[in-house]
Amino acid sequence: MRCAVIKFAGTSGDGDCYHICKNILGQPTEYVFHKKTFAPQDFDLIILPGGASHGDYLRPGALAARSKVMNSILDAAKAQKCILGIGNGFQILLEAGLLPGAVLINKNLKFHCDDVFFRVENSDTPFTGLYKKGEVIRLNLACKYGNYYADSETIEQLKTKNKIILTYCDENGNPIKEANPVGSLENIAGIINSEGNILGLMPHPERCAEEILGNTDGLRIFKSILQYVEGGKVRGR
Amino acid sequence: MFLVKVYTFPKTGVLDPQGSAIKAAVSSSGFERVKDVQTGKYYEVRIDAGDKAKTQEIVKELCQNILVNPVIEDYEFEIMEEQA
Repeated sequence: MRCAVIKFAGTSGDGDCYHICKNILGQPTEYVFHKKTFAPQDFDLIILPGGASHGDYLRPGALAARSKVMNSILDAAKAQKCILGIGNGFQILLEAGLLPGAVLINKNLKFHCDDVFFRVENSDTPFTGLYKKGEVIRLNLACKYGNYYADSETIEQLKTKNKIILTYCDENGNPIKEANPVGSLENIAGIINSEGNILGLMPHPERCAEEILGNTDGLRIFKSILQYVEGGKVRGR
Repeated sequence: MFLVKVYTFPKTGVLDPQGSAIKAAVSSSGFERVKDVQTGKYYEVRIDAGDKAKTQEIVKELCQNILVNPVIEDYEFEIMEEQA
């Protein structure tokens, strides 16, 4: 699996994503700077990491979504390549129109950085095939603009078409309001596009993908993609 | 040259947590008559487009494509002619 990790000015999660793909999964991995372009066939997985691209100026992800490399990402999206947006990367995908909706500032106006529980709502995707539907996992969340919002029609479509992938929940898997530190609608923490090749997540699976970090709950996201790409397509159990 | 003042703000029905927090501070500071606070952003844009109608067309496009996220924001603008 050939992996690209996109770097914008202000991206900070690129090193972690590169490390997981290159050293933990052992896959050929390259950084791609936002002023560069690439062809859809160059990569199988394209990661838009977290951080505060372009200083979060205008709106988080807004400037990155209009940078040169996005043309290549749009082409890769059309070619059904796997695209994973994490944190700010999720915001970029929303701003680029590759995923529906938008983010608002967290309900309590705070930057929230902590390990949080999530429920895997759909394991029938290239990104979550190694999880069980309904499984509760713990991942690191670090964001100020994680408050997912979309109009009621979009929310209804996400629900009925099973496009909500991760929700905030308590440790027993209950998607209660109190377990949602950002205030997102329907406790949404991650969604996938209708074709199923573009996933946006608020939490950081790359920070929870190694024994030495004390938590490997995020590793299966990357391993699921690897299995999917390598053809041993796994489906939810 | 036209000076365009663009205001963007949360759509009706979209949460404005900053506005709510400011409103709470305003109320606790004794401004009982202040009933609502809404936040937004302000941009000054200078456009060289010959006439006002063309400027308006460019501003709308600029707002819809970049300055505003139509999922969560609305906008208003005013156009003023500037002497060179």
